[in-house]
Amino acid sequence: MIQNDLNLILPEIILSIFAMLALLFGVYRGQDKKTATLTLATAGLMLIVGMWMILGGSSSEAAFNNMFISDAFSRYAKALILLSSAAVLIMSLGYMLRHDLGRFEYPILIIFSVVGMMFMVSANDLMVLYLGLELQSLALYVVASIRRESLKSTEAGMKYFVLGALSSGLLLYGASLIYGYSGSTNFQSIIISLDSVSVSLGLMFGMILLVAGLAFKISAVPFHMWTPDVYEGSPTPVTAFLSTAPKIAAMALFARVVYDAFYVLISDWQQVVALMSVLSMFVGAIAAIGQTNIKRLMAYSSIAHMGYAMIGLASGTLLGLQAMLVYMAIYLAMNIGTFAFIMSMERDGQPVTDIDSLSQLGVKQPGRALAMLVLLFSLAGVPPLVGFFGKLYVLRAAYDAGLIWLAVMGVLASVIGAYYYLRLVYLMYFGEKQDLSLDIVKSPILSGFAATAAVVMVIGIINLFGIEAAASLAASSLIN
Amino acid sequence: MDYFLLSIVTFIPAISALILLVVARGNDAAAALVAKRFALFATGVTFFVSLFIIAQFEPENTGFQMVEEAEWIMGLKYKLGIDGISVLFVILTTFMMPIVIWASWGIEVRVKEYMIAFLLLETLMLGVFMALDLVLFYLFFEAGLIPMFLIIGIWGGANRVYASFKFFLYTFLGSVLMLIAMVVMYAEAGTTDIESLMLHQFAFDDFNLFGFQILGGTQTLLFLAFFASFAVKMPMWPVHTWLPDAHVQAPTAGSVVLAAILLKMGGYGFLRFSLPMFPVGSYIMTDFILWLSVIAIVYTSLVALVQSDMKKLIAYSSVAHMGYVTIGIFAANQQGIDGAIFQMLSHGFISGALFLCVGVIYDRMHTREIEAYGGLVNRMPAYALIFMFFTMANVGLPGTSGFVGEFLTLVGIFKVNTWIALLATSGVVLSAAYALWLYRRVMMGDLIKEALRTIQDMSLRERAVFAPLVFMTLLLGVYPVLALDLIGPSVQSLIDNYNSALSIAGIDGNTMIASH
Amino acid sequence: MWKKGDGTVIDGFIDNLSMVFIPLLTRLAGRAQSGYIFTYAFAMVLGIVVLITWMTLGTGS
Repeated sequence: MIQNDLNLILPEIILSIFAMLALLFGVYRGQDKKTATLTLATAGLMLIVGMWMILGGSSSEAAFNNMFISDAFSRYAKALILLSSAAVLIMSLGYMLRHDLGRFEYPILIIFSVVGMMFMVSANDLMVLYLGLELQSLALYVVASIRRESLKSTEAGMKYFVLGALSSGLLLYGASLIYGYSGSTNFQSIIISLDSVSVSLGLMFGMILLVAGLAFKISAVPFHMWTPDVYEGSPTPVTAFLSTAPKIAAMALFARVVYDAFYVLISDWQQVVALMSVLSMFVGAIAAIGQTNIKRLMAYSSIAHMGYAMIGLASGTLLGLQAMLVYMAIYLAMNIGTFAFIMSMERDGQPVTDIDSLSQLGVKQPGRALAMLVLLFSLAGVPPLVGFFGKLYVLRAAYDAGLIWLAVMGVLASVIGAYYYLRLVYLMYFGEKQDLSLDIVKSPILSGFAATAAVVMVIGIINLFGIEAAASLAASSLIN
Repeated sequence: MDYFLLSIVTFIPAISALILLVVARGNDAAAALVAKRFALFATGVTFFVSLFIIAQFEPENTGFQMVEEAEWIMGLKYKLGIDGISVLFVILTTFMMPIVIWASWGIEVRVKEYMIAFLLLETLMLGVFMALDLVLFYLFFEAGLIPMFLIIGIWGGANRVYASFKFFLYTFLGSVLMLIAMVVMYAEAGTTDIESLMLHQFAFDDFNLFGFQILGGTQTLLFLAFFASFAVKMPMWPVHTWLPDAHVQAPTAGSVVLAAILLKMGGYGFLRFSLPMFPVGSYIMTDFILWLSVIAIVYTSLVALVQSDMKKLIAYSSVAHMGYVTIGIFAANQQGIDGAIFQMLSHGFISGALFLCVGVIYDRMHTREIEAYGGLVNRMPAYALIFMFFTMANVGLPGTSGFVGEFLTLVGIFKVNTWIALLATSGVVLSAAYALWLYRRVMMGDLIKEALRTIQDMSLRERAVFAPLVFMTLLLGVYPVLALDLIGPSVQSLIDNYNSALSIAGIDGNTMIASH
Repeated sequence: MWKKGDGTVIDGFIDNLSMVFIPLLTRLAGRAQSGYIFTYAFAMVLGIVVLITWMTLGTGS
């Protein structure tokens, strides 16, 4: 019995053991000198496990008394998490070494966070949900303030921690209410208890609190306010990580919670998610317009994108779930590319995050500017780039579920939001001559990532690299 | 797939752009020349290959021809095809592009990128006219915003940033509403295939929305969503204000492409989507559109009269001419639609030529202010001739293609609504007024301004650029049958389907005539 | 006269909308990011209240 259970969580076990061994190795074998080795080893392992997830097939199995589920859905999410984490790690290495951030604990903390995320997406029980969430978050709180000497970084970590603790507290309170009113912490049992009894207000409150806690993690309005400050204050590689893998994990968890545990209450949570979606899309669009710091701008951008992904979630249908999964995959690709570009923004060896520094980049470094142009238009959702198809998917799902007003809101928000992406393009290509320009950073890895992401945005329209099929498989395994 | 021709024609420019991106290095004059020549070659080849399309086109066959189909993502299809309505737009595009490239010979800044942008734009424009899948159409339609945004913003005039943003956001807003409509259509009809959608009957029962009674229900709403997009594109009054700014700020070649081809996508859209797929909605909104068009014609002609910037004047003139197009389309009869399509083609040549004319003297004097000119006929006789020719064509002088288009649309609308016809005809008079007045102020009289004393007449290259345009304008003017034969049968079929769809819905299309 | 008409009326309306109204909202949004944790936490709690209200109104009754 226990053998089967352990087999199922083998990937998580492997990663955890690796993390602990790596920690020992790091401590006793030279500490920060070994950062590069550790980072690459970590990334490599994550890639391997990620590949393992992709090839995992479509079976659904549960472990530990049905607390942990491994199905196509969790494998899809884990694959995305692992691959994007590996990508971010590899991208970040050069930057961290150059800018005095090369702590050997960094990759280890990342692994712990990733393990937490993996538990999150496989969680079938409120306890495991909380465990995974906390493991992920605690590691991230530390990582956000990893630049110890910087006031901004410390502040970012502090804010993230305090607000995260608040949201975890709310979530836990909600979980306890749910347990109290349903008699179980297991998702399947919860949904059964909802079936038979008329739903009590207490349980619905519990659900909202749980949703609030999850919404915090995905930066949904009105739980988004930590995002701009934390994104801006954290070192850029951390920001890159924050905007990718944790979002996927939280979204996947969100999906599992509402579909597996609370599907009966769909008319309740649908309204709530839809409202958060609309607010997120609009806040993300409007607030970003005045930003001058590119990391803050990306924070708002990710708030808006999560709003779109939530459209898929709010639909409450199989198509909606598939749409959300596809959207997240596309979002990850776009963000990785964009952050690769941001990490290469330097002047006189110091990183710059000022938007104005992009002036005239189209003339001075046409290749980089072109990659960024492609990524920006993709983020804005303009065809023919792949970002548009993500939007098309969620819009279709929305109409399919009868939420046409949500779709209309979505497209209106995307027009408003297009403005700030256009502004970046304008700065790069039509901007006035500025004396401040960016260094030509010779980082093949960063350029490679940015260029690859841009190419993917164009080539991807041919067949979306099979994401559709994978997402469909994942979605159907969840709904059943 | 039995045919590849359409895909080939569509993608030659894009592939050329890719080659140009990778190959031509360096920013010096030599590299620029290579870029220019290569772009000219590529667009020329595209035009040549597109002639095969015409050669193989069978006018009497009213369905889609040379159809290419392949499975795509999300249940969508990659499908291209042409019929009588689209085939001439394709040729217009491939014909104008070499002219546009050749007219851009004077560009010195970032030539390579310029050529790449235009080549990509050509592919996207061709795709719009040939796409037979809803989302594919949308993709090409919207994607054209990107190169145009860059063209206006990088190589444009002093206020280009404002103009390019305005252009992009205005058009984007209209189009996303169309996107929603497409999602609805996909869900309702189960397909994005345009051929099938043309046969699908969308619900037209009246329903209530927020307390408003919507006649024609779903169809009307879908029509309006598509209308939002096409009205901005055409542009129709009152969403036309982006055009004067875009034209004025864009580089000459950008203006030509914008006027000659991009604007036509709106009219094409009405013909390809609104009339066939939402007949009831179209019928219900017809009066509204006719009145908007007439207001456009009269209002913008009046505004053109008071303009001091030449390009702005011609831009407003474009809006007025597009008013004729929409009148013709929504007259929904053979003359009307034939006239509308013909007018679109002719306007492509004529306004393209007029913008090139402005470009000629702008290149010399770097101002578009009418005030700065006068008496040019004394120093630039060849230019005077060309300019006069196209001014007359713009007014609609018989013998030029401008006449045929206007005449047919007026005949078409006269059969349907005499008031509109009357007001629209007044537009002809107004267009004569502003066009001739412009000519008089710029060309005629004495050459008194100092700055103009040394102005040079057109170079050989400039004359050569105009030659094909003159030829086409005259050809279509004296022998319009050439074009009308190609488009006729498809238009006939469109009208027949429209009328039968209306009668199925219980509307007698002929009551329109009776009640007016 | 007509130039003014076109310019101010149509352009005015839409430009006004986009260049005054939206930046107004943007500035509001910017001011909401006060930087103080208390504000953010308060917003979260407020948000929960709103959501609970929304949910109960939207479905229950």
